Amino acid sequence: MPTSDQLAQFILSGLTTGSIYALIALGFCIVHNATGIVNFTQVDFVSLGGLVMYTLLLSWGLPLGVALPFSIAAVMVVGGLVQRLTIEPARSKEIIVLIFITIGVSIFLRGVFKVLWGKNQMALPSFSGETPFVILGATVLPQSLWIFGVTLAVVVLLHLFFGKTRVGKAMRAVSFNSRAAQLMGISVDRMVLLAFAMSGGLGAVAGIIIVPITTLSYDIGVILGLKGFAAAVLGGYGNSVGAIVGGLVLGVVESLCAGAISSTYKDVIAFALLLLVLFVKPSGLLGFGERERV
Amino acid sequence: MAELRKKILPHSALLIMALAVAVFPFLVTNPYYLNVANIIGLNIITVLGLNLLIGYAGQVSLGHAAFCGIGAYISGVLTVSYSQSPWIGILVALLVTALVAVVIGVPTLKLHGHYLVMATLGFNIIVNVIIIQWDMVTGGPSGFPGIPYIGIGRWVLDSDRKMFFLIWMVALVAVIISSNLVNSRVGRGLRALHGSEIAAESLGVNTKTYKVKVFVLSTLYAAISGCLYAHYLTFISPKTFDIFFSVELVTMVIVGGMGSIWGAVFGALVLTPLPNVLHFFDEYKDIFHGAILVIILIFLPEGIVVAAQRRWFATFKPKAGDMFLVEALPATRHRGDEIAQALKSADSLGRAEYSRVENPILKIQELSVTFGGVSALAQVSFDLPMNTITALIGPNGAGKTTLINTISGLQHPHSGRVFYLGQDITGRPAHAVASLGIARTFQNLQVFENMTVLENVMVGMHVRTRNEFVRCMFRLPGFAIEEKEIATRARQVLESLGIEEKAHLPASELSYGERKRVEIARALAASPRLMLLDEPAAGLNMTETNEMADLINQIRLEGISVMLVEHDMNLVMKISDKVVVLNYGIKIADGAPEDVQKDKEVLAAYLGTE
Amino acid sequence: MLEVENLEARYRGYAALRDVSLEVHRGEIVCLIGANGAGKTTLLNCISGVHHDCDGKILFHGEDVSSATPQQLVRRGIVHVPENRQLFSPMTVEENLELGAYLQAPQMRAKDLSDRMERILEHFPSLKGRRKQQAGTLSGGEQQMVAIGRGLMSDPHLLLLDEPSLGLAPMLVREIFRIIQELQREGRTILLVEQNALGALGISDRGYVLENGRVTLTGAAGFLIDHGHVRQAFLGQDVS
Repeated sequence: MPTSDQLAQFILSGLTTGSIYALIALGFCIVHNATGIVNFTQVDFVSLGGLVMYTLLLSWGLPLGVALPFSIAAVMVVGGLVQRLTIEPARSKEIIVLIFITIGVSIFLRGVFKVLWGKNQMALPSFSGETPFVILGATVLPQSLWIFGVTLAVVVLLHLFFGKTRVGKAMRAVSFNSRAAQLMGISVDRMVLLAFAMSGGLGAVAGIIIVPITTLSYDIGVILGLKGFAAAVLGGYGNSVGAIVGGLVLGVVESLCAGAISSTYKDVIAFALLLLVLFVKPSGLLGFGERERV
Repeated sequence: MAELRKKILPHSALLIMALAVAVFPFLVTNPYYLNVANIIGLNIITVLGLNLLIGYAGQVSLGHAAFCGIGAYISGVLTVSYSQSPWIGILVALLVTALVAVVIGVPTLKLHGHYLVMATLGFNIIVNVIIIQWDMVTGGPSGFPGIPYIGIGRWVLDSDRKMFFLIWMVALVAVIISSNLVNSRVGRGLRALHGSEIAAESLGVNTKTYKVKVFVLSTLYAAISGCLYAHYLTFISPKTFDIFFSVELVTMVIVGGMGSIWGAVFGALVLTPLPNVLHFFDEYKDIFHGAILVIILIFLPEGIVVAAQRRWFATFKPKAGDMFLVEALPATRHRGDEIAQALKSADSLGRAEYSRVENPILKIQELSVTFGGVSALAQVSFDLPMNTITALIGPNGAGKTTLINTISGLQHPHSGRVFYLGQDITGRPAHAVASLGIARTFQNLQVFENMTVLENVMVGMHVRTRNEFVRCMFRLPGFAIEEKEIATRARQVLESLGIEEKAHLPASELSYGERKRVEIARALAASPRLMLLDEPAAGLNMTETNEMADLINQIRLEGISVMLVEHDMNLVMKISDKVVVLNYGIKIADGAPEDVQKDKEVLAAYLGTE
Repeated sequence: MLEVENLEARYRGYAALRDVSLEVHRGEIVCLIGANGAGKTTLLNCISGVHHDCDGKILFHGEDVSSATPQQLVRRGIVHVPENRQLFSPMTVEENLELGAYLQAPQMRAKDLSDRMERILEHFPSLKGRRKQQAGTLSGGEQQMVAIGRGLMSDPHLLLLDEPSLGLAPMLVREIFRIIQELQREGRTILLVEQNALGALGISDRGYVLENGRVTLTGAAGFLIDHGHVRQAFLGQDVS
C-alpha cells in the first residue's frame, strides 16, 4: 500500500505526463474535427518539436525565448506542408486511404529526422534548472511546473480562439457542417490547412516541454503520440474537452498502476484502457464531440 | 484446342506461380536468396488474409503482426517448453488466435467507423509488451531460441529449400482458397458488404456475422504464417511482431491493391525484399519507404495491380473466360431449354411454397417511428392487397422512406406492427426480412459499383442459397451446382430486363438508367413475393420512365406485389391500383388514383395553401 | 440581375437539369416550384457554386459567375440559404448569425456588425431573447428564421431560399412567407425554391415550374396559380 506521499507523487507525475497526452490528444482532435481523419504524423510533430528546439537552442545557441516560438512555428509550417503536399492532392478522398497517407508521411518524416539528427539519444536542458521542489509531500521538478503552466496556457488560448475569434468559430463551423460553412464564404480548404498547422503546433509544444524530463530522439514522439491517441479515444474521440480529460486521466491511471502495481507493464495500460473503452463505451468518457455527420 | 485454352487461361497466373515455385529452389541455391523467398512466401500468406479483411469486408487491422506473433510464440513455447509436436503447437495456436479474434472482433465490428483500427493497434502494442515483459515464458527481448523443425513422418524440414516447398505450398493453397472464397456466394456477399452495407443486408447478407468471420479468418492466415516462421527460423523475437510490421503488412495490401488477390501477392512480393534492397541507402531507407508509400497512395490509391488491371481492361475489353485471374464463374450461354431449366431450378432453390393465399400480403398497423422527438410516422395503417401495385406518395419529409425502411428491417418502429402474409415481422433485422421474400430498391441507388452487373444480380440470390465459408473456400461437393444455378438464374433475370449483354461490365460503367435496372434485377433474382421500390423513376428521362412503368407492370403480372414510393405523379397515377398519401407522417388519403388526385386534403398537402 | 442560360447539370450520374434558363430582376420575388426530385436544389447549388458538374452560363449583374466559388459569390452578394436549415447546431443563435457575416466582419466596425444583427432580428420577433440559445434546441420555425437571418447578415443583393417552408406547420409557413415579403419591401431580390407551390406563388411576382429537370412553364404568379398545369405538374395528368 503506497503512502500518501507516494500517492501524491504518483498523481503529480501522472498529471505531468497526462498534460502531454492531453496536448497531443487535442492535436488529433482538431484535425479529426476538421477533416474526419486520424493524422498519424501527429506523433512526428511531437518529435520534431524537440528536435528543432535542440538545434536552435544547443547547436545555434539561441536563447530560450527565441528558440521556443521559432520551434513551434517551424513545426506548424511542416504541419501545413503535410496537408498541402500529401493530403490535398490525394486522388482518393476515402478516409482510410488518407489515414494511410499520413502513416506513410510519418515513416518518411522519421526517416528524415534520422538522417538529420541521427539515431542517438540527446538531451535538452530544463527551462529553469533541475532543483526539485517539494509540494504536498511530492518531489516536483521545475520542468513539471512548466509543463502544467504551458498546458494550461495552451488550453486557455485554444478556448479563447475557438470561442471568441472569428476564425476559430469558423473552424468549429466547418466541423459541424462544412457545406453550410462554405455557403457562408468560409474557405474549408484554408480551415483544414489551419487545423493541420495547429495540430503541428500542439505536438511541438508537447514535445518541447516533455523532452527535458525524458530524453530526445528522432522517434520519441511515437510512443507518446500513440498514447495521446489512446487518450483521445478514451475521452471521446473528437471531443476537445474529452481529449484533455482523457489525457489527464490516462496519465494518472498509468502512473498509479505503474507505481502501485508494477512498472514493467506500464506501456500496456494506455492501450488496455483503449480496448476497454472500445468494448464498453466506444463514445468515450465524455461521449462524442463536436463533429456532426453532415 | 480452343476448349483447352479456355479452361487453362483463367488459371494461367496460378499455373505460372506453381511452375515458378517448383523450379525456383533448383535454379537458386544461395541460402540467402532462398531465405528471402521464404519470408516473401510467409508474408504472402498473411497479406492474403489481411487483404480479405481490408479489400472485401472494408475493415482495416493494424494488429496483424500480433496475430503472427501469437502463432509463433504459442507454437514455439508449446514445442520447446512443453515438448509438444509442432502440429499440436500449430493447432493450439490457431484455436487461441480464433478465440482472441472473436473477443476483439465482436464488440468492435458492430460499430460503424474505424474502431477496429484503433482496437487492433492497441492490441498489437499490448501483445508486444507482454511478449517482452513476460520473459520467463517468452524469453523476453532477447528472443526465444531452439524451436524445433516441423516434420512430416520421417521427413524433417530442416533446410531453407525444404521449408521453401512447405511455405510456398501453403502460400499456393492460400491463394487458391482465397480466390475460391472471393469468387463464390460468400465472396460476393463480402464485396456487397463493402460496396453498400444496407443493400447487402437487404439482400440477406448477415453483415455483422460476416465481418467477424472474415476478421477471424484473416487472423488465422496470420497465425499460420507465424507458426511456420517459428519452425523455420527456430528463433523468434518480439521485434518481428511490432506495430511497424503491422503497418508494413497493410502497406503491402494497399500497394498491390485492396481487394485483389494477385495484388496482395504482388504487394508482398515487392515490398518484402524492399528493405534489403534499400539497405544500400541504409540511412535513407525509411525516407524512400515512406515516399514510395505516399506517392502510390496519392496517385494510385486503388493499388498497382488493380490500376494495371483496369488499364488492361479498358484497352483490351476481355470477355469472361479470358481473364488473367483465377476465375470460377462458368460462362454459360443459355438457350431456350436452358431457360426452362433455369426457371425450374430457380423454383427449386427455395421459392417458398405458399399453400394458402393470404390477402392482404402486407398489413401495416398503427406504425409509429420517432426520431429525436420528431414524429416521422404517426400511427399509419393500411393494407397492401396481393398482386397489386400500391403507391405511397406525399411531399418531401412525409415519412415515405422511413416507412419502407421500417418494413424492410432497416429501421425499428416505436410502436405498431407490420404483418406479412399474416405473420408479424415487426422489428426483424433486414437480412431476415429478405429471407421471407421481401425485396427492395433504394432511393439513393445502392448498386454495388465494385462488382460486375452479373455479380450484382447474383448477390440477389444470396438469401435463397446456402454455400458458406468452408464450402466455398474448399469447393466441397455441392458448391458447383449451387453456383451454376445462381449464375444461370442471374443471367435469366438480366435477359428479361434487356441488359444481359452488359453482364460482365463493372456496374459503374453503366448509365444511370441501366444501373436502376440492375438494382431491380438484383431484387428480382430471389423471386420475391413483395417488392418495395423506393423512387424507381428518380433521375430518369421520359422514355426511361415509360420503360420503368412497363417493367413494374410486368413485375406485377409475374405475381409479385409491389409497393412503390414515387414523386413522378404521371407514373403513379398510370400504373397504380391503389394510392396511399402521407403528410407529416400521417396518412391523409387511401384509395383509387382518380379519387386521390381530387382529394382536397391531398391537394392542400401538395400544392400548399394560399 | 441574375440570368441563367441553358444550364445543364449532372448529379450522381444522371442529368438533373436539362437546358434550364431563367432570370430574376431586381426587387422581384421569383419562385421556382416543382415536385421533389425535379432539380430545384441542384439549380440553386449550381448558382451558388457548390455543385460543380454544371454547364451553361450564369450571369450576375451582367458578369459571368458560372465558375465562381461560393466565397466569391458571397462577396458579390449572392447568398444561398440551404434546404433543411443546416445551422451550426451546437453554436448559439448569435454565433450562427455572426458567421453569416464572416467575410465582411474584418472590414466592419463591431458596432456596425451588431447594429446589423439587431436590424435583422427585428424581422424575427420569436428569436428575441434567444440570442444565446443553442441553435439545435430551437423549434423548426425558429431554426428557419435563424437560417434566413444568417443569410441576411452579409447584406446580399440576391437571396436564394431553398424550401424555407419545409417541415413547418401551416401557421409558421405563413409567418415565413410574410417575412419574405417584408424582405422584398426592404429592397431585396429573392429567388424562392418551394414545394409549397400555391404558398410560394402567392407571394411571388413570377414563377418557373420545374419538372424532371426542365422548365415546363413560366409566367406571372397569378397566371400560374390559375393555370391547371401547376396541379398537373404535382399530381399528374388527370386519370379519371
